[in-house]
Amino acid sequence: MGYGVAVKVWGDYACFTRPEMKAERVSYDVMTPSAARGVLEAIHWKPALRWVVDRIHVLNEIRFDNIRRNEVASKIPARNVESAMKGKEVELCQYASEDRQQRAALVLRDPAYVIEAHFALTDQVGPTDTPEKHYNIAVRRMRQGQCYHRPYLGCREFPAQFELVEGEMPTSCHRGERDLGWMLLDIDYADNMTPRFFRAVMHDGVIDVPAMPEGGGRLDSAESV
Amino acid sequence: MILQSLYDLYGRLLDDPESGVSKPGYSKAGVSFAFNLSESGELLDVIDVRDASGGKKLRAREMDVPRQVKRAYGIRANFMCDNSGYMIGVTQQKSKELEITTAKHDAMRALHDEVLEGSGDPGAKAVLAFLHGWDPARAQDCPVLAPLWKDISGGGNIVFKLDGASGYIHDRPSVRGRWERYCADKTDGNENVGYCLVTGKVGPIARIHDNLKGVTGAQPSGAALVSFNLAAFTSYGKEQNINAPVGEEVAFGYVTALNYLLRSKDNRMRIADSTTVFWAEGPARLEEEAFAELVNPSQPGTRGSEESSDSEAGPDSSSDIAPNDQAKMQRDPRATRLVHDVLAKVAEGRPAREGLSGVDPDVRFCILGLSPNNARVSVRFWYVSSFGALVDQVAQHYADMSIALPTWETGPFPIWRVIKATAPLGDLKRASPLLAGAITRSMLMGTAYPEGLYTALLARIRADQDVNPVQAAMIKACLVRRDRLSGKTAKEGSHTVSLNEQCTDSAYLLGRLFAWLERVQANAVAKGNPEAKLQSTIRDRYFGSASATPRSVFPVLLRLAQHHIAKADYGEYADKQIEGIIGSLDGFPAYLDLEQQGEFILGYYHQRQAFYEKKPAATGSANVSVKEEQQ
Repeated sequence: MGYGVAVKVWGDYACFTRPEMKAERVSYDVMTPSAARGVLEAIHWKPALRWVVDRIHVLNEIRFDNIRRNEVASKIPARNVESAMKGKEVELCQYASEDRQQRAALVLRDPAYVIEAHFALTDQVGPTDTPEKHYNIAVRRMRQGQCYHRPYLGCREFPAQFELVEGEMPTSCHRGERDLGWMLLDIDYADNMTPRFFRAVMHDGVIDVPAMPEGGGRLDSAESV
Repeated sequence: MILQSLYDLYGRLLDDPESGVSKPGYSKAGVSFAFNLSESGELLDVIDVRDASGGKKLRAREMDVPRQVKRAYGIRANFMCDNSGYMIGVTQQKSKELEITTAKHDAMRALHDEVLEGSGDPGAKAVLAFLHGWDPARAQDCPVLAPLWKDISGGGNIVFKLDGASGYIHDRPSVRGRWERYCADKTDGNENVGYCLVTGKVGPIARIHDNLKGVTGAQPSGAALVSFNLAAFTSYGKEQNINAPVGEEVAFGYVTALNYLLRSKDNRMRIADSTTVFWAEGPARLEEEAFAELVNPSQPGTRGSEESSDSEAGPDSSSDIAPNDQAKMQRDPRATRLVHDVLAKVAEGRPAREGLSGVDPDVRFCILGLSPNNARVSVRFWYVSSFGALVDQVAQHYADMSIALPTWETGPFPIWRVIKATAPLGDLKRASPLLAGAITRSMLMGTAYPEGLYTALLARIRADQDVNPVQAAMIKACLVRRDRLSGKTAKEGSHTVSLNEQCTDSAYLLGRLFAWLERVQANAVAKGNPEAKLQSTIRDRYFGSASATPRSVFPVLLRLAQHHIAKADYGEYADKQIEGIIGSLDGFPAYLDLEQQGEFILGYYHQRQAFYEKKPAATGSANVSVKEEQQ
C-alpha cells in the first residue's frame, strides 16, 4: 500500500441508505465503503485503476435528522429506450409532477469522515499507466479540489466537500469500541451484482474495512500496488 | 441495527412462554368463526368465536394459525384459516351483491390437497372431504350458515374444528407436522440464496416480508417496513426484497417481534402521528412501564376540560392520533410511583437518578418511531440508549418545560399536547407531520428543540392572539435549552418558572406591561357591570402587533389605558405597576426578533399567571380567559 491517500470529506447532510430501508430511507450510522469508493471515483478514476478503501475515520458525532422529499415512483422502462433506439416513436421523458411519491428519510447531520484508501491497477491497464502516474494525478486533483463530478455523501443531493489530508490525521470525537452491525461492503459486480456485507466495528472512531471476499471477478484480475 | 435488534428480541420472546409470539410457520390472525365438521366432512354447525368483552361490537378472536400469505392481488389461499370467499366460495360485503368465488374455493382445495395428501389424520380427512364436497353455488341455501349468514359472508376468518375433538384442526399435531414440512420444502425450493444483511449468513432470502399491523394511520390490512413496491426503489435489476437480502427466518422473526410490540399495551405509545415502540435489550418489565409513563404522562387532570371536546367531536376526530385510550391504560403502580419520584426530584432541582430505586439504570433501551406512508411504514426515529440516560434526558425536558400553571392544568405535558398547541384549532391532523419525531428526538437525546417548533408556536400564538400554558411552557423550554446549549447562563434571563420581577429584559417587560394593560381594561369593564363581556379586548386586537412591533402599538394602548385606570377598581395600584414597568424600559423598540417575541410571550404569561395566583377567586378577566381556553 505504498500509494495510499487520506481524504477528508464532509457536508451538511448524508444518507448512506440501508438496503432494507430503501423505500423510506434510513441511513447507516456511518459512511459505507462503497460510498467512500464513490467519492474517490468522483475525483479520479480510469478503467485502469480500482480504488480499495482501507479505513474510514468517523470524525463527528453521529446525529440523525428527518426530511421529506418528493420523488418519482417509477423508472423509464428499458423497453421504451430499446424501441427508441430501433427508431420507433416513444415517449422517453418522465413527468415528475404526475408521478410523485412523498418519501420520508432519516438522514445524517453534519457528517465528516476521513477515507484512507489505496488503488490497484486492473487488467485494463495500458502501456503508459503506472502507479506513480495515477497516484500523482489523484493527489494533485485532491489538492486542487478538482473532480469529474461533484462527490456526494450517499445521495446525489448531499454534496461533499473534500480535501487531501497531508499533515496530521484529524481527531475523531468517538472513543471506545462500538458495534455498528452488518453493513454493506460493496456490490460484487462480477457475481451477478451480489451485495457483500461486513461486520462494522468502530474503534476510537476508526472502522477497518476488510477486502472484498473471494469471488469478485475484478479483484482477481487486479494487481495491488 | 433495527432489524437485528428486533430479531434478537424475537429470540428472547420465543424463550418466554408468556409472550405468546408465533413460532416460524405460524402467525396471528383474527378469527371470527369455526366450522364444526363431522369426520366425513359434513358441516354440522358454526361456532361463533368472536369476543364480546369489548363492548357492543363483537371482535374477532386472535389466535395462532398457520402463517398467512400476503395478498396484494390475485388469488392465494391460506392453510386452515381464511375468509368466506375461500372457505365456502361466497362473499357478500356490506350492501353489495352476492359474489360467488369458485376460483378462490378451488385454490383453497388445491392447497389443502397439496399439504394434506394421503394424511391419515381424521381432522385432515374431514377438511379435505368438506372442501371436495362443498358447492359454492349452493352455499347460500345451507341451513347451517343461514342464521349467521351476514356475518360469515362478510369476510371474517374461519377455522375448522372436528366434532367431538378438543381444539381446532389446525392445532392437531399431525396437521402441524404436515404444515411445517410443507413450509420447509418451500423454503428449500427458494432459489434466492444470498448473504443475509442482518446475520451475515448465507441462506434463502425472503422475497416478500409480512405486514405490520397496528401502526396508526396505516392501511387496515397492514403495511410493510421493508418493501419495494415501486420500480423506483429497486436497483441492480433486482426484484422485490432481493434488493435487501434478509434471510427467510430473520424476516419472519423481526416482523413477528415488531407485531408483538405493536400489539402490546406497555411497549407501544402514540406520539402525535408516529407510533412508537420501545423495548429493553433484556428482561426489564418495570423499566419498560416506567419509561412509557415518563415519556407519555397520563395527564389525569385534563380530560375534563380540553380533551372532552375532542372525543365528543365525532367518531373519527383526533381519536386515532391523541392517545384517548389512556383512560383504559393500566400501569403498574410501582412504575407510576417511580415516575412520580423522578419528577419530584427534578422539580426540586436534584438529579433525576435519585428518584430511581429498584430498577437497573444500565438496561439498554431501543426506541423506534414509525409512521405510515401508503402501504409502507417509514422510520421516524431510531434511538438506543441506557435506561438511566433516557430518564435523565426526559427529566431534563420536563424541567425545561416547567412553568407556573393555572389550577385546571397539571403538568407535565406529553408531546401530543405540544403538537396540538402548534396546530390551527388544536386539530392534531393539521400540525406539521415532522414535529413529533423531531421533538421526541430532542427529548430523548437532550439536543436543541427543532427550529420549526419554536416558529410554529409563535405563529400559532400570533394567529390566536392568546397564549395557553402548553405554548408558554414549550417556548420557555426552547429558550432555556437554546441558552444552555449555546453556553449562555440563563441566570439573568427571564426563563423562570413563574414571574420574575427582577428581570430587565425589555421584551419580557413589554409582555408584562401588556398583561397589565389587558387587566385594567377588564377591571374597568367589570366595574360597571360584573357580568359584562367585551366583544373584543385589547388582546384580541393588539396581541400580535404588540409582540412584534411594540413601538407602533404601545403608545396607543397607554393612552387608552388612562381611561381604564380612571374607571377601574384598584386603578391606582395598577397605575403604579404600569409606571414601574415603563420606568425600567428604555423606550419602545421598533420591532422584536423571534427570540424576543418568545420573551414577550413569557412575560405576558407569567404576569397574567401572577394575577391569578394572588387572587384565586378570579374576577372578570379570569373568567374570560378560562372560557377562551376551552373553545
